[in-house]
Amino acid sequence: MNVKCIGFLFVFIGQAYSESYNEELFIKPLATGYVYSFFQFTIIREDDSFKHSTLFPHSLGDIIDRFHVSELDVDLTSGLWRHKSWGYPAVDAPSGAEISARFHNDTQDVDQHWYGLTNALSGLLCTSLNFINSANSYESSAHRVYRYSNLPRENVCTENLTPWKKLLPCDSTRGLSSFLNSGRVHNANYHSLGIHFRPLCNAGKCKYELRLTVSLVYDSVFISFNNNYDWSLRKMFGTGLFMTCPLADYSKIYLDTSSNISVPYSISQEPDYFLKKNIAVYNLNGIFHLSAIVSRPKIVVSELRPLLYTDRFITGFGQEYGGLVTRIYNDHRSPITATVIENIPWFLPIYYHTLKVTSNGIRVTPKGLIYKPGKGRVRIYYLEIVLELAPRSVTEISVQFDYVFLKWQEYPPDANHGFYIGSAIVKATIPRHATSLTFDKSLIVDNINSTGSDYLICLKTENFIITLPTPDFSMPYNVICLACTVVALAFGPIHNITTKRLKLTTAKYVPGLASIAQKLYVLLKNIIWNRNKNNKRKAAKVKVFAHEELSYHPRLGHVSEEFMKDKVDCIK
Amino acid sequence: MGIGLTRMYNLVFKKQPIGTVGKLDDDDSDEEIWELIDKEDDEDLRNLSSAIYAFILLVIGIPLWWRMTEVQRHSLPYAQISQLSTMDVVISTDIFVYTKNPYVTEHIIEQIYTSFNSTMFSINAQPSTFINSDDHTLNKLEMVITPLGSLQLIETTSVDDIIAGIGRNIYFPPNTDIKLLMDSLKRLLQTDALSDSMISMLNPGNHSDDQQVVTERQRRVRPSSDYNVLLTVVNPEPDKLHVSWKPEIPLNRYLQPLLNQLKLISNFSVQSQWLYLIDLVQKPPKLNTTFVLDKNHAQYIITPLEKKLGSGVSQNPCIHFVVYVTPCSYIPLYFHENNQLTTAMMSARWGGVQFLNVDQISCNESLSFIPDDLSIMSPIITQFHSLIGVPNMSNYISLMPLKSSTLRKWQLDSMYRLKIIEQYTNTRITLTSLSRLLGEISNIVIIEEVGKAVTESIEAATKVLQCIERGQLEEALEFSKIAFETSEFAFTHPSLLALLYFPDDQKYAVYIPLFLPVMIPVLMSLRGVKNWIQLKYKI
Repeated sequence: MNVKCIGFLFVFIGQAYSESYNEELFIKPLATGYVYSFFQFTIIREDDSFKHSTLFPHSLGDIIDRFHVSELDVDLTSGLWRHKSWGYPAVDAPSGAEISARFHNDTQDVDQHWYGLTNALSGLLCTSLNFINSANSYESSAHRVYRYSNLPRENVCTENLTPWKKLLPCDSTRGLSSFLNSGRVHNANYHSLGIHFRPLCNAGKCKYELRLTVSLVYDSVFISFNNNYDWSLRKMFGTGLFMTCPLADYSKIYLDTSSNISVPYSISQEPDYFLKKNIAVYNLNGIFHLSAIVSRPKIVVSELRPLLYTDRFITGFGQEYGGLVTRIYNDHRSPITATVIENIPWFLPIYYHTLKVTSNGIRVTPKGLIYKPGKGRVRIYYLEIVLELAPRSVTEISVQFDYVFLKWQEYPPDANHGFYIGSAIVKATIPRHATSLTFDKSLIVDNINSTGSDYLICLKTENFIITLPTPDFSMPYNVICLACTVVALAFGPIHNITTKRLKLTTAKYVPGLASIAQKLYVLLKNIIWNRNKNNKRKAAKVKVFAHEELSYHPRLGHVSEEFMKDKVDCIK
Repeated sequence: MGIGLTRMYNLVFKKQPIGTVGKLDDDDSDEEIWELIDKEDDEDLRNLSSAIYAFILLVIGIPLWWRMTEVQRHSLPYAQISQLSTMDVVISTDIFVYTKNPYVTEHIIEQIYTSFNSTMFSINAQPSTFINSDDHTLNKLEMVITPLGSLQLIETTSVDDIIAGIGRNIYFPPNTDIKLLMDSLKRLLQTDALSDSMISMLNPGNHSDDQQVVTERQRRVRPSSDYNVLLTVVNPEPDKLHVSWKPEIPLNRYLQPLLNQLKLISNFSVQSQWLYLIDLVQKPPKLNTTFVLDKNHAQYIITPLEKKLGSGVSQNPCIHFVVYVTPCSYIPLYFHENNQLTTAMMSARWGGVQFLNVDQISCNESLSFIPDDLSIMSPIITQFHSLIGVPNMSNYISLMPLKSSTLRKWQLDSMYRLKIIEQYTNTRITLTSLSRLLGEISNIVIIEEVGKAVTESIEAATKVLQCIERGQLEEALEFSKIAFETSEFAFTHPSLLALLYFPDDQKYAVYIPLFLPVMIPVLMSLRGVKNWIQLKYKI
């Protein structure tokens, strides 16, 4: 009995350091015929040591513990989120891989931990995060312990999804994660895997939140077989839900029905209840399927255009006068303060004096500006600009850069494909009511109910590709061969001139193969010559006449008598 | 040379008119000119410059090129490395003997010297001076402190068999067969296990004749200075069964004291995790009322788990303990081994698996099941002992029961000895293979850092031998750890491989276009230079 009491006591203590797990799926039909689905698997724990865990993935906990990570965001994305027509996503991530981490404040060697972390994560998620080095990551201007990097060239595929799913307590066997079939996930127009870990501290008491997220955008025309705009869970994910995850406190599906006004659709299942009037909520506890029939398909412009969106492109032609332009559109009726962070790789040296910020064509001075010049092969060009965006304005930041020659080993495979330049980051605080949904709380349900006034958005711009001057890669060997040949060609004559003299000498008889051959030749020649001489004698038996034997012919002169007889008769 | 030229010039010009007049002199004068030209030719200069070319290329150029393209090799103490393998390992151990009768004591000491014939031990037996009081109850005797690494044989009437105590004392009743006592002594000092572990490491394939010693060795995890211990609780049916158990509490309570005791040997990092929804791959057959899984089928549990177990971040070996909560439909589930049913099973060098059979009530009524800490932890502790190499003597000698999971002092001593021998032998093998590899593969780079590590490792290894010869176990352990770590560091340093994949044919492809056309004329001219030297110095 006593033992049991102690046992109960331990259980009680144990539950104080508990972990909770929730599964949520947020579906939002977008006005342009796309369907956005956002999966969020949230684990919240109270213990800051990750040695022992019940729901928190041990492999990730070990990494967090070992490298003193206090905040971590990893996003693996394929496709481009179109803010202008799709609004704001739950988690904004640029195409490729993006990672940012904040370490504990007392961490001594931050860089070492940062590279350790990226290497560990690259092993955990099968990504190329191990290519992160000082030349493609930066530390924040405000925090010594913050690091950021993105790898725009990273391809995100099944090999990333499978290890990501292993982090979930129910893996992909039960619950909402059973929707994530790699074939379907990678069929989406946009998909993004995320790992977001952060402490939530309130009055000195901290909780630790891990959100594992997946964002998928499907084109409803593409997934429906009848070429209409109908969508359903099965059409999107290939399966319905059979079992919920028993470890989750709850599993819920939220359906944003706000677009129902402009593009009406009917849903197969009545929701359990509504939140904020237009968010339909389904509590999952067994087999579940949801489908929507869009009766009157028509493409309309999104009714809630985002307040703030960006555009980014390069200017210049050929490989001259390269320029980089970032445009920020503010459609709000009041000014917005935004921070733009450009991270430009070292092989794109920018000219700081060409930095120009214009608002509606008029040059303005930014409120704040931090510039850390880059350094070849070591450091990126870091540019942080704080701007006040005028109401209903287009702000343009432009800067010119140069195309540089790289060392031949620094070119990636398929160098003519071009170099990817990662996205810029635009951070701004917008009024919360300006966007249909916010995603800054732990759970989606808290977000829907949140009443704060401001919402921090973080926009990631497009990546782009530039072509640097690319050499012919067989060049080094050619150069070696050519240079060697030239040296050898020059060396031969110089050596000869300095060490040899042309000199007339009498040929000496040198017994050897040549002389034997010569003798043989002479011998053979003599034999042949002799034979020819004999032949000549036989063939031309010339009779020599004496003077008196000849007679005179008036035209022919002296001829023999026989000849005279024959010829003279003929002539006659 | 100038004079020679003018003379030749004069000669030619002076001879010219004569030549035109007297046709008879013509041939003579030509020969003379040519002879002169031959004589006055700058032959010395030409040959000298040939020689200089050859000198620059062969004496300066090639060695310079050789030096520049040479694989960087910091010099290593090869002689000391090869010397290591000739040095004998001798562990000196004190054995104190106490009996009431000094003659008996003398006799036992004599017997120890004559019958103890292990080459690895140098025994120093002597009468005990630690026991002064006449109170010979076991409790009192247990209080007697014997120095580290030694053993004390105490004759007492309180026991009726040879019993190993918790300290370093061995109790034997009067009139014990001296042979039996010697046998126990050998067992306690682990002479067999030590030599077996050394032999098997140095000559793979060779091992001791004692089968148990061999199995025990094969079970041990590979030597390392850091280990991870990961306890994984698997609940395959979290929807049907709720298990309320916090592994960190029993781990701290039962395993941690043991790990603290072993902290000189290596660091252990204890972690635990829960996994869910992992089913048994093989359906266990039912025997009477129980489900039984053959011991050889444990891989069907381990294999599906393995891919989710580790984190892969740590380079240290991990000792896994898996507590598999039996699914409700297979209760009770046991392993079948040698006609015995057990819940726990050990996998050599990997860890252990055990079934946690919940009671049917929790299954049926979906109550929280609270398992008993001790019944889960005791197999784990036993398995942990075998995995790290704690000597198991229970088959030979009766042991005094322990009140906690910690080791007896003499057990810890033998653990120390075993680790010293293991780490020392490992160092020796690593260094020998490194020096052999360097001899065989010329492309291996040795940077200064690696060179230093090797030197440090050898120094530490030599100190290990000195320390155990003096009987200083703790110091020897420390040095063996240093030797082991530095040798591993040197052997696995990535810089070793820096040039390993740079093939020779590519070198030739680069150098031949330059060297071949340059070398041919230089080498050809050497013959002329040789003739010239011979002519000049009349050799």
